[in-house]
Formats: sequence, structure tokens, C-alpha cells
Amino acid sequence: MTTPVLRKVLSLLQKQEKAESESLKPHSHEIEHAQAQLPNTIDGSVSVVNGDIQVVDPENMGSFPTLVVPDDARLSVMINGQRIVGEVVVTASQQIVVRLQHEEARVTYNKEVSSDNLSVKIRVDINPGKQYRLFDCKPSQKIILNLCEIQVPPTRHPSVAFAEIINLIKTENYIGLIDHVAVQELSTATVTCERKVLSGTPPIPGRPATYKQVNIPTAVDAFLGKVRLSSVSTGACIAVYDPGVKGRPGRDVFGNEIPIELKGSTPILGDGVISVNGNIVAVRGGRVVFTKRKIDVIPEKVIDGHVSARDGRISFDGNIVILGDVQDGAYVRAGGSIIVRGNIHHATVLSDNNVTVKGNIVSSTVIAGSTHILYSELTPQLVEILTLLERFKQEYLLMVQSAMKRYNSHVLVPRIAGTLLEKRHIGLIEVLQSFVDDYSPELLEVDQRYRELIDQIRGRWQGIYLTNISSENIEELVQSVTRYSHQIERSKSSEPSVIQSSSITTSTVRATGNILVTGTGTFSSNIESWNSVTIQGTARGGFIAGKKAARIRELGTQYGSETSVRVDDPDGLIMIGTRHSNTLIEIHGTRNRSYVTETNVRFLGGQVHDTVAIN
Amino acid sequence: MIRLLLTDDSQETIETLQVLYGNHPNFEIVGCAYNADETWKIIREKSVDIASLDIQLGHDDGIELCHQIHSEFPEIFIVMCSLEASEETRRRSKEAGASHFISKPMRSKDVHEIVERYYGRHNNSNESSQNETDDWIKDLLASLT
Repeated sequence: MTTPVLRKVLSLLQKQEKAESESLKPHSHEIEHAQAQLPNTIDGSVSVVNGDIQVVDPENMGSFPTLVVPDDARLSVMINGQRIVGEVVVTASQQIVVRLQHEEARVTYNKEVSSDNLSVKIRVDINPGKQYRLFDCKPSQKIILNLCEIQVPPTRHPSVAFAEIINLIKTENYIGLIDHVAVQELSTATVTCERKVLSGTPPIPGRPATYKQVNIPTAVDAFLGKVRLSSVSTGACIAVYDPGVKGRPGRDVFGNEIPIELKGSTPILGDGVISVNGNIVAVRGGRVVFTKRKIDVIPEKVIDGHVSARDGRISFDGNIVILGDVQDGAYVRAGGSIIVRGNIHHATVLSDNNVTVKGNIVSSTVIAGSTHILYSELTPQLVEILTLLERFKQEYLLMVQSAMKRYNSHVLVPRIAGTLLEKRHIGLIEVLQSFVDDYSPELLEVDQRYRELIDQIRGRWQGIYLTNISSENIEELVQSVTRYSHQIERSKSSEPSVIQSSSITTSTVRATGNILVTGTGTFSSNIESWNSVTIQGTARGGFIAGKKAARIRELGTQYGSETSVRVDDPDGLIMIGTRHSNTLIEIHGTRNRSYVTETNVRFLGGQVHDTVAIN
Repeated sequence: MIRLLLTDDSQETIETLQVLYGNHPNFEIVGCAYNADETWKIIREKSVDIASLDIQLGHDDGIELCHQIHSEFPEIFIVMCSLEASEETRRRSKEAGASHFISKPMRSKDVHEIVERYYGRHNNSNESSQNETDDWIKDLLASLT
């Protein structure tokens, strides 16, 4: 067939197809006519009524309803035996089963013993149950299921709960008094709560024996700013014995005994009083000292006027009150306190108790707690002597043992000690020499045992006497030094002694307690406290040392006066209002030197806090 | 008596040292100096057992002064007494010939320690083995006859 013919055939075929399709397509009026003749469609619906899912199928080609089931562990929807989650088409013919996971109410008991084991607490945890149901929904083509929660309190029978709680206590074998009212409250509680249900028996501490002060008149000391007990004469009754109250041990809830803790202690009686038939009686006249630690009568010497070298050495085993100055060359020593209403100038003032100076201390040596300080300085020497003596004694005995084997032992033995000392124990000789040479005149004056020890060393352990030392001499010295060491250890337990003065200038001031300078301050002085130093004025030059703290209003001067402060305790504190340059502060080896002026300096155990540099 | 020379550029410190050493019966203060020149003057004129030197002496260097004194007067016991107390400073002082180092502020017990060190007292540790013990016993007994 040729191409023109082919084209003609195709064209005819296309016309035919077009005609056929147009003949099959209904016309719009035919469509409307057909539609007018069909019935109305009704869509299906689903609803929730009283927790039940109800489905109505559609009619006349209507849409089927859908149900949206959330993924919730509490809800399980089964359609024809299969669990469904998510959106699903439902029909009335399906078997739709809804299962809900309710929670039951719970009551639990927890017990707790107190930290001191003296009580038991029970806590009842009441957890109401939860019941669920589906929220009702109106018929709709699509519904989303939602749960409604209803709390259900537990069912408790008070008598049963009561018995449960009592049983819980008894099961643990707790010992003590049961609080039945508390148990009853727990058994009827509707909300979580706790109660103490059992108590052990706490100990009754009692009261130690003590002394009750009798009515001793007091007087206000305007100078000291405090009330003081008056003086009494020999034979006066100071206090009466109070035997105290015997305590009673307790018992904890586990049945263990709690011992009695005795608080407080009986004061010791000083040398100035004795106990007579339960009464504390003064054996000497003087001022009454009545503290928690000590009862005593301290003789008091009042010097009306100034004291100077012309008065000689003043030494008194009691308090000394000087109504004037302590002047050039004076030496005052007290076994009690010293009060100076004036100044101390170029003098030596030593007290076993406090020193209070209204005026100034200038070019003087003032020590409070002097015997205590001397004993502390003596202790290392005594320890060294004992150590070296023991070594010497061991070698001496070895030598004697060897010498006794020889025919001429009677010649050798007496010479051993001297030779041994000279050849191998020079250190012991030197220490003993030092102990004697550096004796303390103050201690010699007041301590007989110290005098005896010095005499013993001088008489047997020095010079020519060294050649004639026997084993008995060695043992005697060991015993003497040991005994003296123990005695001074006991003596060191006295209360700290305080020094107070208006100012201190080119002086040495040492105290076993606090040092307080209330006026202008200190200048080029050596100040040492076993507790704290407080200078309310300016510390200019000098060395200041405290054990626990130092508080100074102004340290150094604007001219750069070299001044240094040390505190020994690692937890110590240094507080300075204004700190000038060229000053040094130290706490337990940590040193800080200043090159500028600072204010409000706090130095705590190694760190400088809160300073403000001025220049 | 220990003859003591005090050297420090701070007048307040000199006064304080005088107070401190003055309380100890062993000491006699033979002079106070504020710089190296004054120190030399006193050393050459007076007999000195112990010299207490500060490190910072104004224009002078205390450690250098220590070295010079130790070279010329090795018998003088030199105590360096200073605000500056680092390990380095202590080491340099020791190398310069100082016998002892005290950091300021000084205390009474530091004075006692200086006396002890000056007199060179030390514990003789004569612990020895048994053979050595037998030897010295034999030697000592022999010396007695």
C-alpha cells in the first residue's frame, strides 16, 4: 500500500474512534436524570455510651465509621479477638471488646529507727487505687478513645490495721513503750502519714558532786570592770558540799544499755581551802576564787603607792595589787594575779595568773602564767636528759658487766662512769651543765623540787664528782628527773593567764592566755601569746606571735616600719584593719609579705581574703 | 657570756632584738649596726661571738656581708634573721657561711635554740653493733688500767 493511501486509512480510523467514544459518553442531562433516580447515603457512626463502644453501619453506600485507639497500656481494645491500636474502621458486625487495666489501692508500712536508737517511727503509705472507664462520646464518624480516671481509696479495717502495726513492732523485737494513740492514728489514716510509735528510755545524766557557794559578799571592781568576791579570813566557810544526783542509764529500742554521760566535774580545792565535814573552809585569809574548775582562797597583798628597786624583790604567793606604778628596777612576782593601777616601767613583773595594767608597759618584762611557761621550756631539757641518761646507763651496765670478769674489777668499776662520760657521753655532760647553768631564778625561788634537782646535779654530776659516779647515783638521777617531769606535767593544767595593758613599748610580754592592748598599741616589742593577741591600736615594729589568732587595728606604719606577725595554728586567723607595707604575716608557715597598704585584711590558714589595696 | 652583734636596717627591729636577747642571761649585746659599714666597724673593734644579720640592709646585701664576715672571721657564729625566709634564701645563707637561720618574727624559744646551736650540743648516737660494742668496751677498759 502506498504512503498516501496509508495516511487516508489512518485518518478514517481516527474519525471512527472519535465518533464511537462520543456516542458512549452520557450527556450531562442524562447524568442528572440518572442521579435523580438514586436513594440518599447515610454514613456509619461510632459512639461510646456508658463505656461501651457502639457502631452503626452506614447505608446506601455511606462511609464506615473509624475508631482511634490510643497506645495506652491501661486500655486494650480487641476487635474480633485481635488487639487494635491506632485508627481502625469498625462495623456493627465486629465483636469489639474493651479491657481496662485498673490499679488496686495499696497500704504499706515502713519503719525507721531514730539516729540515737531511742525511738521507732512508722510511716503508713496510702496509695489509692485507680479505676478507668472510657469517656462517653456522641455518635460520630470518627472518635478517639479517651480514658477517665477515678481514684478509689483503699478499704481499711482499723482493727486489722492496728494489729498489723503492733505485729510489725513486735516482729522486730523492739524494746520500749508503745504509743497506742499513735498506732490508732496510723490505723485510721486515710492519707500517707507517720507517727512515732515506740520510745526507748533515755539516760538520766545526773549531776556530779559539786560545791555550792555560801553567801559571800561581792563588790564591783571599777578598775577591772567586774564583780569580785570579797576577801575572807581564816576559818570562813566558803562553800558546802553538794553530793549531786546519781544518774540512771537508759535503754535503746534494741535493748542496749545507754550509759550515763556525766557532764561537768567537781572543782578542785586549792591550797587555800580544806574540806571539813562537807564544808569548804578557808585555811588562810584572802580573796575567794570560786570557778567551775577551782575553789581557793588567794591571799592578796595591796601596795598603796609605787614600787621600785628600793623595795627589793617583791614575791608573794597570792594576788598583788599595786595602786601606783612599778618603776625602774622593780621585781614583782605573784603566785596569783597582779593588778597595776599605774604603769610598769623598766621592771620585771611575773605572775602565775593574770596581769592587768591600767597604764603602759615600757621597757619591761611582763609574763602571765610564768611558772607554766617556765615548765614548758624545761620539759624538752628534761626529756633530753632522760634520753641521754638512759643511753649512758645502758653502756655503763655493759662495761661493768665486762669489768666484773677481770681480776682487777675492784679497780676498774669505780672509774667506768667518769671515763664513759668523757669518752662517749659528752652530750650528757653538756646538757646537765646547761640545765644547771641556765637555771631559772624564778623557779628556784618557788619550786623546791627544782632546787633539789639542781643541787643533785651540781653535787654529783659536775667537775671532779664525775669520776666517782656509781650505779646508784645513775639510778637516783633517772628517778629524780622522771619524778620531776611528771610533777611539772601535772602543774601545767592551770587555766590560761591573760595580760591586759593600755600600750606596750620595747618590752617582752608573754602570756599563756590572751594578750589585749586597749590603747595606742605596741612599739618594738616582743609579744607572745599561747592563745590570741588583740591590739586595738597600732603595732609598730616588733614581733607578735599568737597560737590561734591575731587581731590588729593597724599593722606597721605609712613609713614602712618593719613589723611581723605569726600565728601557729594551721586554722589560725589574722585580721588587720590597715596593713602597711614592709609587714609580714604568717600562719603555720605560710608567709605573706606586703609591699602596699591594704585595708580589711583577713588571713586564714594560708590565704589572704578580703583585702583592699590602697597604693 | 655570749657577745652578740645585731645588724638590721630597721630601728624598730633592732630595738625588739635587744629586748628579746636582753631577756636571756647568756647574752651581752656588744653593738648594734644598721648597715655593712657599721657592722664591720664593730666586728673589728670588739670581740663578737654571734652576729645576727638581716638580709635586706638597705643598699647592702646581708648574704654577701655574711660571706665576707665568714671568710675573714670564720669563728663568728652567724645567724641570719630575716623577713625573707624562702628555701632559696636559706640555701644561699648557708652557702655564704651562716650557721643558723631564723625567720621573723622571732620568739623566745628561738633564742634558746640559738644558744643550743652555738654551744653545738647534740645527742651522741653511740648505737653500734655487738662487735663494735665489744671493741669500745675493751678499749675503754684498757684505758682504765
